[in-house]
Amino acid sequence: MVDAARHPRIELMTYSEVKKCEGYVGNFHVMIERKPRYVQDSCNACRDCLEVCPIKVPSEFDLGLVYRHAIYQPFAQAVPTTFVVDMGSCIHCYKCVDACPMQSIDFSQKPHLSDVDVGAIIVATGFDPFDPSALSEYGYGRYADVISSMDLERLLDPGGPTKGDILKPSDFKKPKQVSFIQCVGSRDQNHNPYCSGYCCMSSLKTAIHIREKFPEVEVVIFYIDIRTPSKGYEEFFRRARKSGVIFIQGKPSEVAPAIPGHGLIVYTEDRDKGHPVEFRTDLVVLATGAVPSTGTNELSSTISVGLDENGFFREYHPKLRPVDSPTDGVFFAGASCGPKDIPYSVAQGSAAAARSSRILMNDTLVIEPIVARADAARCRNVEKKCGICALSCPFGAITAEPGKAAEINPAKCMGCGTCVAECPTGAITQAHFHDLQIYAQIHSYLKEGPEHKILAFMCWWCSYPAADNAGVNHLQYPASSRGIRVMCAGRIKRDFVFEAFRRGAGMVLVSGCHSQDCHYLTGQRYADKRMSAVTRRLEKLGISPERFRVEWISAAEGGKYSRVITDMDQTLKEIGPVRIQEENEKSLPGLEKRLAHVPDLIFSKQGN
Amino acid sequence: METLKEILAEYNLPARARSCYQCGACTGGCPVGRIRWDFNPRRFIEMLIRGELEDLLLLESIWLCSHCLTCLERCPQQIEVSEIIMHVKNCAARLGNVPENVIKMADLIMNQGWIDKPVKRMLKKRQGLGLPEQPEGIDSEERKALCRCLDWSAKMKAFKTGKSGGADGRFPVSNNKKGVRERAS
Repeated sequence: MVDAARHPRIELMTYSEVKKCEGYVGNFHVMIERKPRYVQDSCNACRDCLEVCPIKVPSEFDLGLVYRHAIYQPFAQAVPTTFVVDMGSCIHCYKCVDACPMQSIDFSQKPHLSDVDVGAIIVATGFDPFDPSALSEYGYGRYADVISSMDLERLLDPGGPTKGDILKPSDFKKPKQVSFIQCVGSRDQNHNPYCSGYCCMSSLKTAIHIREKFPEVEVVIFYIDIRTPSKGYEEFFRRARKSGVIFIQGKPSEVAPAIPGHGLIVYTEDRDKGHPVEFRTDLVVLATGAVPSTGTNELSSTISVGLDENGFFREYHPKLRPVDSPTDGVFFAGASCGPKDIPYSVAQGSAAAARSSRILMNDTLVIEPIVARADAARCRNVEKKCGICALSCPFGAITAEPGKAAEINPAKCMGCGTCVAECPTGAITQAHFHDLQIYAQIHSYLKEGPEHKILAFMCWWCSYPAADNAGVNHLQYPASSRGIRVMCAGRIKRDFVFEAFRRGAGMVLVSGCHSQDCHYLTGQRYADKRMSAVTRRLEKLGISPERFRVEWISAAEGGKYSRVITDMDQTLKEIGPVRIQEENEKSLPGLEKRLAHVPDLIFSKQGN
Repeated sequence: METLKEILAEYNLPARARSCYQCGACTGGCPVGRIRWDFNPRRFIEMLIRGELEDLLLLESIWLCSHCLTCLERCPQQIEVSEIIMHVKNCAARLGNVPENVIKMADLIMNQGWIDKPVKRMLKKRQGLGLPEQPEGIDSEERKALCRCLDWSAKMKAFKTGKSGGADGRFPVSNNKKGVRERAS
């Protein structure tokens, strides 16, 4: 941190908050509130003020194990070293002002805003430790000798409150036996369903530390599974076993005090023995997981980047783009988008730096040309409140202010086309995937013998590659299918399906990524909703529901693709062209009425 | 004929247990398990997941559950262990595999309205609290109505004959199953 602060090309803004963020990749305007420290930068951290300050409050950094003054330095290695006054506990006695040899203390400081223009943003807001008092059965906060793993870290720190000695908080005596309880609040449907990932290694580390520094202390780890998947981790686990740490498989159910003076009892099942055991111990350490850091919610709305179901930032794609946010030019590093250990955080931080320098290196930025464009003349938002497009855009590229036509920022648009399909007036078009282009494709595929054909709409990233995969793996499927490739399932309009049936298609398949894999975050969900409405409508029009299918097929599921097509082909043959033609004739008036705006692209030229 | 499969399909038990990762928090907190080691809720769930249903239904220990719901409270996967055990008991009962003491208890409740008569100390306590000397239990008219609704006498008979048929702890033999089917129809 000191190195970063000293670097000539890095400007650190500590004790600051992002208030507003506008613009797009390469051109972000960020408004940052600099909070007042009430101490000027001339402070040389001489600590004279600490001697006169009469206030003492529990120290946040030492997790309440010791006290700090109202004027304080958050921790010894803080950057900058400037002290800060905690206005919440200060009683304004001004003794520190008189004591300061540098005349640095200034109670008149006010928060001020600074504007910065940046090209890329890296979100590295970290995580907060889970508060284990939510699990009342472990008695954190009720029994002094039940502590969290962060508390233990402070105890073991040579510069910490006990100078690195491990002491029981109840009587300041050395414990004979320390028990770790793993997965506290993690992998728990009542609290955090995810695995926090680092707690196993952190407990192993502290367990080894205790065993090596205080060999007389017995260490027991109660665990569900010990997860040591990364490089060198399994070896570390072996080292922990060799150092004499005892591992008991079983999640403790309860911690209760034994008779006074005899520590605590951990109630658990010893799975290897297959029966419940009562385990007497002196100090219980709860290995707490990670929760999103305070303020993640506010920051997410400020920089308009969404959160996942656990409240962490959502990456663009969990496997393929784990560093990028859905907004171009915003990247994630470390635990801001999920709990991570140190090597993983460092890797992600470096990746984020490389990703952002890719943007900053160039004078101009080249983007994909497949963006959506809005026609102001046809936009409904001018007359009445609409904004459906802005809602459907997962990238925040569309602004639809009341009374004004919707505007699409091409730098933010990723080109999924969900807004195009959602627009009720057809005011939005997508370059390279224009409605007319797709209608032309539908028409030419269904020019001859449409009742024998399966028309498949496929998304760019999953379903089309799935068909490719089927081909590469030599998986046989009937030749009756014709594929139309769009960027995302969200682009597939209702009218595309209706038009296919109007042109006499035997079967229609709509396919895309699985919901969690959608390359445009929400496109699949819009498609799913839209297509279930289409299914209902088709039934009313008199088209049998077997003729319209919606399947979510990932790029690796070539087998599924070939199965679906084979299955559909069989159904097609079972229904037979006669019944299909009958149904089509019956539904034609309804479809004609609905599709009056669709021009006759191929059929008219051919004179059909 | 009600088969084991049909009965289990009705309760959908394995599906309700499948998210279990066998941490043992249910057993660690179980007040019955502390006294009787053969009562191990984690093990019951494991047997359900692995499909060892017939063995599970034969266990006498499943009848020890006191339904205090500590397991549900502690379960990190929100599995309703206690409710699943209740259903396992129902399955076992429908197949006629009920321990004798449980049948006796049920019979006592249906005939008298209580299992144990209040002891002297409890009577004193009741007096001190200003309660009537004898707890009312279930009114005899109500008991009769309940017995009629549940077809109690036929059930008791089936259980008793079933017990003699399957005395060696094996799964209900034919005459017992017949009794079960008659009740169901």
